[in-house]
Amino acid sequence: MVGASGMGKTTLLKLLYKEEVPDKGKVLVGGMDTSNIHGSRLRRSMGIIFQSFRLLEKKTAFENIAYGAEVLATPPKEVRKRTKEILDLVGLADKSHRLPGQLSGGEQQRVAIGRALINEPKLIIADEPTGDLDPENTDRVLNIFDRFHQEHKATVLFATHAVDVVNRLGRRVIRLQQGNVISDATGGYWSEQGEETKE
Amino acid sequence: MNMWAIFYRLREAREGIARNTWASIATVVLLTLTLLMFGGFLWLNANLAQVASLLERQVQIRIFPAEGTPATTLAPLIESLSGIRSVEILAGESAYERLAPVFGRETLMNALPADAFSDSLSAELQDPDQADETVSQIRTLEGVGDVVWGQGFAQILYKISNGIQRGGIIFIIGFFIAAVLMSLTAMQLAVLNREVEIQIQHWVGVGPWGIRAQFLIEAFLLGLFSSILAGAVFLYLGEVIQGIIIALMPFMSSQLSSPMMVIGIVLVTGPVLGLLGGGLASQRAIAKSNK
Repeated sequence: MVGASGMGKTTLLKLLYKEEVPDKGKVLVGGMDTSNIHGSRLRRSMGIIFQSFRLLEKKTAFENIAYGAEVLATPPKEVRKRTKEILDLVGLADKSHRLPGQLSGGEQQRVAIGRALINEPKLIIADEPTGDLDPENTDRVLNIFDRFHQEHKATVLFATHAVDVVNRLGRRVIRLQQGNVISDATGGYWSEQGEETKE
Repeated sequence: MNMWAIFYRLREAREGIARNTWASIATVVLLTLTLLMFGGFLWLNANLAQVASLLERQVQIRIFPAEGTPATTLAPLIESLSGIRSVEILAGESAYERLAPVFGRETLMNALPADAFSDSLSAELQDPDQADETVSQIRTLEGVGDVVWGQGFAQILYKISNGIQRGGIIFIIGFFIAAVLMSLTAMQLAVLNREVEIQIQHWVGVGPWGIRAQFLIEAFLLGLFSSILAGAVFLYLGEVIQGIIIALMPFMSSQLSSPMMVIGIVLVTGPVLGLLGGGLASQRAIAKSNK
């Protein structure tokens, strides 16, 4: 999902995970009307990622990722198993005992992604997750999403205004302007001028 | 909430208490002080009620019949008054017998005529607060010579004890409010310190009660710890204070109520106060999760 800042990307995402409720109309997620389901229940099937990492400073990378499953009362054995898998997925198995302050920005974002993925969501909502990352870390993050999508058949909804990120993905591109969808192209690319082309 | 949810939240509560060490200590100190005051007043009130009851039993009126009126004639008239619980006839000879050990039988026989002590009546009141009214009614009865009673002394004591009981309740309510506010402040601090945790829980789909539970458990633990401290103080000091009172006022030995009842109430009250503060503070935390 692309669009310049202030075009409604974040608002649309918030409507999807029910941080905001629409004044009129319906929001359907996986065919379900979100007005008929409590926000917390809806979010249990989602993994939400932001530009800011929002990690717990006094917990290690392992504990930060595990926290996402613990708060949903997952048994400890299962939490440990899943956390190890996720640490492998995000490439931080060797840094699992480091605190966020001992990790780079890219690594911190991968911990935040790991925390969002630990409950095996069906839908991943990522709001500018590569906004603060260098190209190398951006690639890593995109690869994580791609791998998770391949392995778990999860949908990844990625909001960005970075042209290079969109073009590298080469996936469906939904373009927003003033809160309206102005184009929706599968396998599309976004030009510098903000135009989509179909592959 | 399943077993693991409780386990994780207990762990988080313990970490939260350790993280906000000073706020936690301040909360426990104030809650403990409140519980000590509360328990102290409860105990005092219970004992004052006993003293009041003792005084009530001792508010007796002595009625001397007018000359020529037998005490046996007056007794049913007095007993029929609404404020009277019971009437007893005291024979004149009994007064003579009571004075004899003090002044000496021979001295009394020489000093007083044989009929110096006439029969009298002792009336017990239903309600010491109504003493004035009842005494006035007795005075209007035909055949009543004189009426002697505590001249309001017992009544004054009774009113004082009532006042202390009422004041104590107001004092306790004040401390209760202060304790809840302190618990609320500590928990609000905990909520502020955990804004990121609350957000994470919110995003992964923890419901409002799940988020609230963490703060309720933390507040419950602070309240429980405070009540255990206060209970231990009562256990230790209760016997000591009781001993001092009995040494000063031996007649109270059978009247004092045990501090165990107070300890039981304090043990329940601490967690309740904590939960009240935690519940109010967590409103803010769950406001976002209610959509």
